[in-house]
Amino acid sequence: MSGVDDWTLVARAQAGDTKAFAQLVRRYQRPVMQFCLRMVGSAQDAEEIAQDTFVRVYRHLDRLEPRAKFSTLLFGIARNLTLNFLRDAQRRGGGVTDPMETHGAVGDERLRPDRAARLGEIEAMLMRAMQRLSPEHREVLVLRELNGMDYEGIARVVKCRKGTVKSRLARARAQLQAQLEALGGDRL
Amino acid sequence: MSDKEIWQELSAYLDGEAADSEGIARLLESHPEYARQFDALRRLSHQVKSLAPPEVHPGFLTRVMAEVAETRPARASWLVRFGAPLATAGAAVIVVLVGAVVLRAVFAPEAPVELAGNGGAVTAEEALFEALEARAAAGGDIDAWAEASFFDFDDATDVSTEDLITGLAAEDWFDELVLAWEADEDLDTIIGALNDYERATFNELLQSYREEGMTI
Repeated sequence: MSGVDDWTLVARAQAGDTKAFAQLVRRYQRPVMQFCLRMVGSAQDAEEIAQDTFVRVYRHLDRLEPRAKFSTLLFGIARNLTLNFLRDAQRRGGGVTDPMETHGAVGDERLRPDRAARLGEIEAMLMRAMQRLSPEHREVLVLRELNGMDYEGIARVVKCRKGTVKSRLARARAQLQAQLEALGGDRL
Repeated sequence: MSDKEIWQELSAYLDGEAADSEGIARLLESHPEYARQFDALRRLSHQVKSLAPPEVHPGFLTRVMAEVAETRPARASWLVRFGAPLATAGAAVIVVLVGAVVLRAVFAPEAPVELAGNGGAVTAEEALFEALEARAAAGGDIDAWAEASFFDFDDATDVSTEDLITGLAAEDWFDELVLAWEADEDLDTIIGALNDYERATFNELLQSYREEGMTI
């Protein structure tokens, strides 16, 4: 089933084939987690949001039609949920989790400890710098650099013009560079 | 071009999205400073791309599928979807209205609240359309989105129709309608799915929000 395209899997899931929906989850769980994690900064929160994303898709399966890429719709939902989460966190007066606690490479046992620590340091600094970007800048950066979307796809997910994606991305990169310099990351 | 515009073009060039990639290539050959900026952009991009992909918990799929098993994929009735928020809003309105009647009769609305703003009464169809549009428009503008999202009925002494619709568009449950809208389901289809009772329920929900905003 791995070679089957997304909308065929959706059609099978609509017909009651839960294995087809499970295949969609398997296919997108990592990219959706990647997006959510880089947006909210906490692995635990990201996992809950990712889970909610897939459940919402399932809940509305009968309405889905192949008029756009399935991934655009999926990331659109994930994006709404992460923005809701960030809004609620700000409302509660809390921030997102310190990225120093959530970087992923440190625990990789295949790496030598000093190498793993170095990678962990770089990743934590990058995460910290990214968390200082506004959500609107962070989301375009993550969708482009980590989810590999083109400008057209990003524009569909964040619902703005392609030109806006271009300018936001340039600004996000300028701000990220400045943040890394402020954190001493320019020496990395 | 200003430095800002050049940086923007370099960023797009890095992504293969520059409008004039040949022009940018020539610029990089003739201007060492821009070539340095482009190298910095490329290094930055490489660093971000090198972030380790997250480990997905082995039980993630199981948890999703377990929740899915309890979820009915078929279209839920509008009554079911509106039930919880309507009940919450309705209960709040009842409490507020009773309290208001007891404390100050003037707080109790003398007539049913109309969804009327500067432009006059708003039907469910119009409200739904405007709310969907507002949500879609706010989606591309985080400031507008945040402003809509932080709309707080608790602090409101009066709510314009525009605020009501924007506030409605920021509600979580409204995502379900937005999803249909984003899936290119046309408004006629969405509206067409409403029966008379459901339209009345939708109107009632909007009224409840408005009353809540006006009396709290």
